Amino acid sequence: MFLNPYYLQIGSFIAINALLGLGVYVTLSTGQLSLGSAGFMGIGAYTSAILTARYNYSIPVGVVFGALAAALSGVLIAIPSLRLRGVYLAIVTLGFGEILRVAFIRLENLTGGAIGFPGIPKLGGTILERLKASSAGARIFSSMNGNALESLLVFAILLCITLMSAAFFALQANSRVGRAFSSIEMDETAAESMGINVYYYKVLSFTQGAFVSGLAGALYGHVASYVSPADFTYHRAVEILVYAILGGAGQVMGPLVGASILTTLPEVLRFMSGYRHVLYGAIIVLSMIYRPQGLIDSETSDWLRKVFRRKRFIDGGVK
Amino acid sequence: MTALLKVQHLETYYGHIHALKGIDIEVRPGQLVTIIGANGSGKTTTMKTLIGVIKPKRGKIVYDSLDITGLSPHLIVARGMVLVPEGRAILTRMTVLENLQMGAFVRKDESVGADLEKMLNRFPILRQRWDQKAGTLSGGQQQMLAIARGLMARPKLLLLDEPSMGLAPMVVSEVIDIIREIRNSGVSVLLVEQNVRQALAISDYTYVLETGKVILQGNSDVLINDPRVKDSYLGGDRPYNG
Repeated sequence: MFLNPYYLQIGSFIAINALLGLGVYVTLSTGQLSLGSAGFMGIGAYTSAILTARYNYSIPVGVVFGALAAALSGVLIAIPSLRLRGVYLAIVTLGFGEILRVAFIRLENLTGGAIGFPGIPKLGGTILERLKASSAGARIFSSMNGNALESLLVFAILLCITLMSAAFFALQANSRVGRAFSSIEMDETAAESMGINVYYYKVLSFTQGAFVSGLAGALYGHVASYVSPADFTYHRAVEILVYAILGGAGQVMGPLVGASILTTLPEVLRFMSGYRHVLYGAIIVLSMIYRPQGLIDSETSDWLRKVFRRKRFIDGGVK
Repeated sequence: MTALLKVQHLETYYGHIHALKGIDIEVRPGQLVTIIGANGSGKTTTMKTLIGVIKPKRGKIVYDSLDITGLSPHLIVARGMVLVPEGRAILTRMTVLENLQMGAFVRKDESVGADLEKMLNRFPILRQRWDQKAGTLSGGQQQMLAIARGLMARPKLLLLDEPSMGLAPMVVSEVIDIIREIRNSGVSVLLVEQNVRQALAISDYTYVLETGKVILQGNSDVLINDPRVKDSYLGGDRPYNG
């Protein structure tokens, strides 16, 4: 059952959406509300698509450069908009995303315009070919359903990348950089008076957010094998924001949980056909009313940590 | 003796508002200097300009024989001039201990741990509450924490912006005592206060600010008897005032 390509594909989209949610999380961890994630995602997706499909670079090269291109544009947008806060920054980043979306449509020679960019090399197919080329791989995998195997591989790779990114952000949160981020988020004046370079850390967090969004976008292109400007609208940006907020934007685990739930929900609700989006919306509304801090807040994440460590404590006789 | 801080003809604008109209201030090593003045006279603006949060339009700030005019706050803090901002500005969702650790953000030496210990000894209430979120402390305790956090940066010059604001009279006296102790431990202090009587009583030198200008200055023990200060800030010589 776990090899069902349908479930595996949902799993892959959960991983990508969780990555996007992490981008919102890290930007918000310095108190910056960005709605540019769809735009950064698009930069990553198109950069990698062009590099791999037009210039025959390998997928890893394309993905890395896609993420770097998004990070670079992150720096460029962060520097002039640093004075802006809250909704003002959100609106500037929203405008930035719209400029990009129109650019993706107009730059037809590069992006294929409104029709979209087809034929992006598929992540699973490429790896599968490599594996089959080696004789040992061919023997092991010949018995298995190629389609299922491909989906499984893609899912495993995406899960790895997402979990590694989440681990990085969790470690960072407890580091010097993470402390600086949360000081800035709590009180910028206080952060400044403690000698924290507020300017530097805000640009850093914004750029990290752009980087993971670009990474997710590039990966998305290689999973879907087709992207178009319609994939990177402000509607997508809001959706990504909701992953982080509903899951709990204060914790690394929040966006992971939020993306998992909100990506699975439309599939689970499929039986309701036309009405499923009504229930989807209702669930968002209700969870914001009853848990405005998100499903995972600092208390739940402390509690989860305790539950997972309980055994050791019982053995040691410490409460 | 050369001054630790020498401010020459400092002018600051908020947009078109001329907030500081040429201020000269001097703090010598080991001195406790007070700036007093009514609301809107430019006290907080002066502090913010000194620490680099606001860039001055004209004038010069020399600290520790170095021109720091226009330098960013983190560079100024790293050189040992530290501001405890108005309204305490503690990190409410961090614990007391984490707040103190954040105070040492710019330090790279090994003795931060030892200094933490010292600070917890100096402020017993903070030791009692070390694991609590700073937002759960009372106003007075938060002010102690803010000052302790400032000291964690090992300042040569500590800028205190209205540390007694919003505190009960008894707590104010406690804060004033601590400021005196800090000066006695060798740290120079520039203090902005509205509690004029107590500020003058502990400080060496005082500047009186009015609408962005220094209108009066002198040794604090002299100014405390100056009729102009008495009239404007100490409630005058009316009989019921003792």
